[in-house]
Amino acid sequence: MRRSATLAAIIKELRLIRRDPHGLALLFVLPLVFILIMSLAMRDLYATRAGAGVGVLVIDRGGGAQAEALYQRLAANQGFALTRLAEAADARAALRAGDYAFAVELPADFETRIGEAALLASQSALVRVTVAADTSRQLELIFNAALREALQRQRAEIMLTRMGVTSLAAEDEASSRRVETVYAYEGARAAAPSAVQQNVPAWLVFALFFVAVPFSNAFIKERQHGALARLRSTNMGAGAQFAGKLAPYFAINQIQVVLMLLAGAFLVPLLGGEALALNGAPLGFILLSTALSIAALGMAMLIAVIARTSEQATLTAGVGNIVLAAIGGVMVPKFVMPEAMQTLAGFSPMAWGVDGFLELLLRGGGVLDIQMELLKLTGFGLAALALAWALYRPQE
Amino acid sequence: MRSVTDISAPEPAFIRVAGVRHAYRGAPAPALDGVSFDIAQGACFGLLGPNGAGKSTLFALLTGVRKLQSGEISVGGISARADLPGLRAQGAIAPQDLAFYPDLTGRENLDFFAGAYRLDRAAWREAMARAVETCQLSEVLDRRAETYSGGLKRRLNLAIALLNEPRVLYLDEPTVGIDARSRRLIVDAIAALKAEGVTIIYTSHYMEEVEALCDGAAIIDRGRVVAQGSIREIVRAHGGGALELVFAAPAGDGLRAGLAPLGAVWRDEQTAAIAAADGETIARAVDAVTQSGAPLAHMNFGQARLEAAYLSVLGQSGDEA
Repeated sequence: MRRSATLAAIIKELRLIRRDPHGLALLFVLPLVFILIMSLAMRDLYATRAGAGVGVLVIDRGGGAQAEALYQRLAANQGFALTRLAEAADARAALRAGDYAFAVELPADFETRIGEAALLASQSALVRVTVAADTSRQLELIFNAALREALQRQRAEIMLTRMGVTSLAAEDEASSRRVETVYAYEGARAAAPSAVQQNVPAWLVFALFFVAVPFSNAFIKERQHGALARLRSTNMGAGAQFAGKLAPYFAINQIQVVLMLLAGAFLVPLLGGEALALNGAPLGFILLSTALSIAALGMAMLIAVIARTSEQATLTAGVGNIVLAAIGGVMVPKFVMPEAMQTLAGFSPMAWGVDGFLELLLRGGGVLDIQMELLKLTGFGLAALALAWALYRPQE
Repeated sequence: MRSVTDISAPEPAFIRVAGVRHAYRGAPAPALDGVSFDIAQGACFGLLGPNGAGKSTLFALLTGVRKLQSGEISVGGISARADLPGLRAQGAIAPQDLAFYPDLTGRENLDFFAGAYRLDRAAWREAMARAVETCQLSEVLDRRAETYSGGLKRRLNLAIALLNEPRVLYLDEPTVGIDARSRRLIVDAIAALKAEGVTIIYTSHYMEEVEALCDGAAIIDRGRVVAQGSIREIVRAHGGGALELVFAAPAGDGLRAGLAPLGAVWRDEQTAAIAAADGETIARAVDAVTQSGAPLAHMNFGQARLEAAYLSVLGQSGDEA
């Protein structure tokens, strides 16, 4: 029985990969570092985007029913996340730490003054708001307007109660229906990702495509050493040579997917970030990572066949990946891009991959929900491989 | 153009190259232009010529690396045009470039190429052991090839070519740039393979190696065979009366200009050879040296060696270009 040339090529490639710790580190450590840094650094930005309330401290010096009513009125607004605090000094420290945007101090006489008719003529403030240094002027104006509206409603209710009107519940319920909110582009706010949900798939996709750098360099080194020319004098065809290269890097891609998802689920929370929830169909993950690998390796093989030197390959693969990542929603999430850029992103295979992962992770999608992404990635990868094959074969 | 000396191999041709022409896209002239020669089975055949003469292209066609454009090549009766895989299976090449993986050990390299040759599982260990023994690599087999000396690398390069026990071995400068011991070892290994009946095509710039190993040779220049036959015949036809001039300092333009009309070929900056020099040519050469004032270290005359024949053929070929 004859030895398999393909198996020999796979074993050879695995040995070469094992002897290149720097290349391996590039494939695993780099995306992991990006995932950790970006998930933690952009946690607050994504949390606000996803609808988390603006942090507000409330110092209630009186502790009466009216103060509690105001607290509940503000807490009912989902735009704010309220926290009670006993001392004003603690509030200043908390504001300086950057965890809160405002501190609202309700004085001890709030209970009586809120319902006084004389308040109309009073020059002294009913409540005091302290604004954190990093709070935007825009947010300050919005919060002040909301607080004034809450105080006015509370005073109005007190007055109406005195006049014998006992319930405004129907009015409150009706007012919530009077403003309809629609979004300029689909799905953006309806299911905005968290920092970890955005960054794990984004940098994972980037890492999968980044194999083009060591892959193409290994191919070019073989050509420069004359090994490829020697192989052409044997009857080891291009098929075995391609398979010998693709199979080990496909395995590396799959290991990258598993490790990066595990890092999102278990490592990021250890460092203070949110844990990645692995929603979505398991088969969807398997098919998506397979399609992504086909696309990434197709591109890598094409670069390897076209480039004549290691410098050319590194430049083409490196710059190409960065450009695809920039327009594909890896470095900057697609949902913050202007519409024209979002259209452009539709041409990046990385965007197809990120969209597929977001569909699974964010919306708990299944295989049918990502079928377009699967088709586009597989089609792109097979087309690139076919072109690489067509260019390589005449050299045989 | 001078007529080609054509001395056919007396035995039936095992390798037949007939009217081969090969041109690269964009190149001003074909790399090979009507090359023809025959080689008998079990012969060692030298393929000689300056860099860029077309030897590598011819090797690429003989080993099935490149497809034939025109002409015919057959090895052991298998046509390159009709059965390229069959042609490839006949032979193996030890290229001038060290065609293996420096990051792998010697054993891993041999293991991989044994797979590439699709050797029989039962036979490949035996073939590997034979190749290792022939090239004396057993002590370094588990070291990475990048740590090998130049000589060891050449031996590994040869060992890989021996794995599929080829009927034809193509050796492209197998001893270039290595120490004397490794060179002797490789030359002895080639002689042993020849004795076993392996047909060998050999290129080298070391003419004494070609003279010692080869039965016949073809000299190629600018894509054409300008002389061929047995070594003895080539030497007899072209090697007599060569004059070699060795200078103590690099030759200046005046000296080169003075010797050019005599067909001088410069081997290096300080050594010139003039083919088939008679008394008058010697006198003119001495006169040119004297007029130029160049410091002549010594001169040799009358060495009937392959190197002189080679230089003579190339000198005349150059004159006609």
